[in-house]
Amino acid sequence: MAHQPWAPYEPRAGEWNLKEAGHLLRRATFGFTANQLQQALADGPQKTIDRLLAAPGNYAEFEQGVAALTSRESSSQDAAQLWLYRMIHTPYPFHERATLFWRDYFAVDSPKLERASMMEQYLQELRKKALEPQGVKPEAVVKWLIGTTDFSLSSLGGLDSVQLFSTVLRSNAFFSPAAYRQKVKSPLEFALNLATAVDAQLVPAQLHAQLAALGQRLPNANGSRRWLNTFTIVGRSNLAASMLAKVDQFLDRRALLDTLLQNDAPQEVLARLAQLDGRELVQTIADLPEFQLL
Amino acid sequence: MNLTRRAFLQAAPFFVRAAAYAASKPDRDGAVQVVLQLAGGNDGLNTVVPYEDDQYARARTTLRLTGNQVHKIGGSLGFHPAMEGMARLFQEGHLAVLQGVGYPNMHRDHNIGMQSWQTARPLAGERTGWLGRVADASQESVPVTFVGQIPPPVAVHSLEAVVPTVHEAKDWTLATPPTMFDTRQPDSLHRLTATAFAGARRTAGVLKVPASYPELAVAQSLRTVAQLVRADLGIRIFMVEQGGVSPGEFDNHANQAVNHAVSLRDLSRSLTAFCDDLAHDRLLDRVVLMTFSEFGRTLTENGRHGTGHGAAAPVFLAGGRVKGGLVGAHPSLKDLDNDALKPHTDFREVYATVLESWLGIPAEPILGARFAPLDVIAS
Repeated sequence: MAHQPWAPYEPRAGEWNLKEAGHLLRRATFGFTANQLQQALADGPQKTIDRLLAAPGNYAEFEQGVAALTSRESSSQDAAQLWLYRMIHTPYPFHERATLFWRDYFAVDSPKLERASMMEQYLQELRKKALEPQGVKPEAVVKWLIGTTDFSLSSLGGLDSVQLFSTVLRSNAFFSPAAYRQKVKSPLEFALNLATAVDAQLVPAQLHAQLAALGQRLPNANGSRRWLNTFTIVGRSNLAASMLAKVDQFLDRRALLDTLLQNDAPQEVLARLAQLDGRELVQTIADLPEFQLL
Repeated sequence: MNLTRRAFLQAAPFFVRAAAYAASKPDRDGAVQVVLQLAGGNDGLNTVVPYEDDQYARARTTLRLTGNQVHKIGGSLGFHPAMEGMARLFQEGHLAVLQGVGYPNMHRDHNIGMQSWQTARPLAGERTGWLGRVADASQESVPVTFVGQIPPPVAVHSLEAVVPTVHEAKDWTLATPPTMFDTRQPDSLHRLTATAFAGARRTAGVLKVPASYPELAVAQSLRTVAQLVRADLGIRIFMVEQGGVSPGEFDNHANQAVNHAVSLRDLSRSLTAFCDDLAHDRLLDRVVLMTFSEFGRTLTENGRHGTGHGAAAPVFLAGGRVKGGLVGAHPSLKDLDNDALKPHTDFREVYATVLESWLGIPAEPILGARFAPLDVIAS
């Protein structure tokens, strides 16, 4: 691998497991269900990536529905809430993730963007271009999707955005230990990972304020925040508690451990988690350092 | 010292900064700075009153305060009658009055003036605050926290660090205390998590400590600060505010006498309750509180019994280690700039004082230039 970091990852028998599938879905979506994880496990990496990178059949209809919600006169906070709605419900999460990447990449700020319609228009422009060919530095994409740029990037020069995204996601480097859980989840990633796994209902207006309290003020760009400190760790635990309070039914212990943690934690931690169920189990997982990592 | 003081090193460049900090830092690990914003442009002339000055008496036809009304503090100056508690702190030697503070060509627009004080880079269009830059440069987990009910002011805006906004100390407690946590893992993230949960438990404990504070927003913010200081979370700087969002309650263009008295009484009662609370647990020596406002007021009273936007004004420093008393001369009332007092002390000298002399934080990288600290804090 060291010599071919950008060659397609071709796992040997047994190498494609929950850890690998969970890693891919954490980075390429905002969150995933137990069924989506099992589907990825069954399909293998390349087929799963094919699916993640392609627009699903109902995407245009979804976008039309969201466009109808855009207000002309409201503030950028309303645009942020609409954006959160998109991230929570989109059938094409990689596209929205790429939009978020571009928002951070360009980090454009202007008083004009204070108006919801202007911000929504700006985000729509980013969304349109998110998967189209345009000039982007390989370093930026590699840092976004992998988290480290310690690999030689020379062979990535000359690729357009779509090729870059595809190449990096499919690569040995992406599935290497240098990438696995080496990034810290943003508050958004923390919240949507958790909520999707346990089917917690999220209210965009409320979530917007909760994320801001943890340092992520959408729709502002939030490129290089140091997300974790002693306050935000407590805040994340409390955010999880407030989300879980609204969940009536939980999956069984095995499904929760697979979906939230891919069963990947120190043995003594897993042994203690095996004593818990339901809300208490999920809250405990949400509090784990391992769950803060992307 | 507990784990809250320990570094959570996140990136290589921080090792470099950490070395710089270690080299320059005196033993000030437990020192805490509170920065109290007074929004609206506080009238320094009716806060620290030159009651014997003829210019003052002539210009303030209805707002004038006399020697019989003020709390005299020496030098023909007196505190506003509503500042009884702060007068006591002054007499006890726990309050310093830094006179004539401002900056060259002070701007008289609320937003630009406040932006200047909050960024510490007047009129430069800087987007990060001076406290936000402290947080960005720090290797500690939470060096800066804003306590208040308004959106976090520009002063705490940062590029990388997440500066908490706390409404009450309960925000720093856990809704669901963890049922299990493995603290034996040696890596920094496990240590940080253990430190966070231990801090939340201590915070829950200090909520039960009784204290007497007025039912005022600023008093309750200061109570929260005292609680978080007691919880020993390792926070070096708290920002609190009185007066709300722009233009703020200290902006008295009309009927100033009544309104200003209420604001100063609220300030004095709140600050006194805070100092008394800390002194009760022998914590006052660990804390310095500094006030600031975006500008003072004009010398001359207007036709509506109020004052206009001015320039230089006094800054208060309170705390057990503060060298109490008057610092610097009262600005001349004869040599004015468009009816406002001229500053003789740059506010960034005050910032350098609290950063370097009190907290042991190198000030120049934060302020962007070298400003000499004032000799107002006992070593």
